[in-house]
Amino acid sequence: VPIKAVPDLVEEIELTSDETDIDREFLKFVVSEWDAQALEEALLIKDAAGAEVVAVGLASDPDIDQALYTALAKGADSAVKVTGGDEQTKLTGDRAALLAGYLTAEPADLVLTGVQAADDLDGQLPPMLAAHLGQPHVSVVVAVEAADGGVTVRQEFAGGRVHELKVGLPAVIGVQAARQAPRYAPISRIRQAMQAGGLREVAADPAASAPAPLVRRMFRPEQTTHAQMLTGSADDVAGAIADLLRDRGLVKG
Amino acid sequence: MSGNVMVLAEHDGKQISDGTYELLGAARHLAAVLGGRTEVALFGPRDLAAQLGGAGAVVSVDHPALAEYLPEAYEQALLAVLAERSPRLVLMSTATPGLDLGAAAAVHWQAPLAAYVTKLAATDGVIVATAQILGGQSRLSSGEPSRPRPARARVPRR
Repeated sequence: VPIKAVPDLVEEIELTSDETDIDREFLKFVVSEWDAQALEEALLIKDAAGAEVVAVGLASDPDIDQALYTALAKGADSAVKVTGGDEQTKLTGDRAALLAGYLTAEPADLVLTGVQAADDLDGQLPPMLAAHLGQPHVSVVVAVEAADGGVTVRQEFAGGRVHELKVGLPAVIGVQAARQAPRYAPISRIRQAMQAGGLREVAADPAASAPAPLVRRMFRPEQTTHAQMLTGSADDVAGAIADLLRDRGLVKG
Repeated sequence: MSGNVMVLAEHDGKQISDGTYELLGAARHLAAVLGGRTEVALFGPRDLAAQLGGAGAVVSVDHPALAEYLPEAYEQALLAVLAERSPRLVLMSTATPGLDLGAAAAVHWQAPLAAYVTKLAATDGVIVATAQILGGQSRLSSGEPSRPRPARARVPRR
């Protein structure tokens, strides 16, 4: 289960002075919420069918040790910190190439990871990783269960439509949501895991990554419209809303 | 390389999705600037091409494995079409098929990818995509470097 540390979006995010990236210096980092879902799904598979769950982080990610110890406290069997990337491996393409290098050296039967992350501007990890490894992949998955030497996955589509697919192993799955909410790890257990140590560092050779887009400028969303308060009686407000909808061509008549 | 802009059609077997038409609109605008035409990659029932009158051309791949959306089959079809048609840019929506196929195709087809795109423009032959990231806290413009490579982008379906 590859996990990624992403900026905590509850905090105000500042941009660097050249406006091509965010300023990471004073930011708090948390585990990407989709990766937390992927870890939960992996632990559910382990609970039901037996499996060895390995949490994998990139050593260049801020606060990754804490994230990996938390994964151990939740029930992961081991945790690996992959080294070998740049100082900070930020683009998804580079992350996928490095993780592919690690997984080539230490293969897994099944890779579960978050379908996306809040900051993956150049695409999503699971398909890129699978493409490097030459493995099948399915994204936007809401359930993974072991079945006949492979896995059965439920893939979600717009409008709530769901496909159930059988996938042969090895495979990479992009998890949208686990079958149940991610379990809680008490601080005492995380402390215990920290005291026991046991994060294994593995140096990996990155695969050749795909060409990356060039970031020209990063900026805050421009405020294009302001809220307009409608006042008056319920009938006046309803009439004003109806007029607005008509003006914008959203309703006919 | 052509200046053509390709759109991956999404459908439920009977109806082309609204998002596909939205992408087609963006593709027509970009193709005009790039001096190419729009092509739609349609996998599955070929009679759906009748609903794609706005496209310059429809590249249809019809096979029993493509009747319903299957990530592996669609990926194979997409890579074959990309190899044959060499479009300058491919647009797919940030719905499930786009999330499956975009990033994998970027690696196989060796092209840069911009995700969560809300605006697309072509200036002096460079494709510039504006994307919304970090839960709406930041936006970025990413330009395809001025080298002869196809870029691709995904436009969200509203």
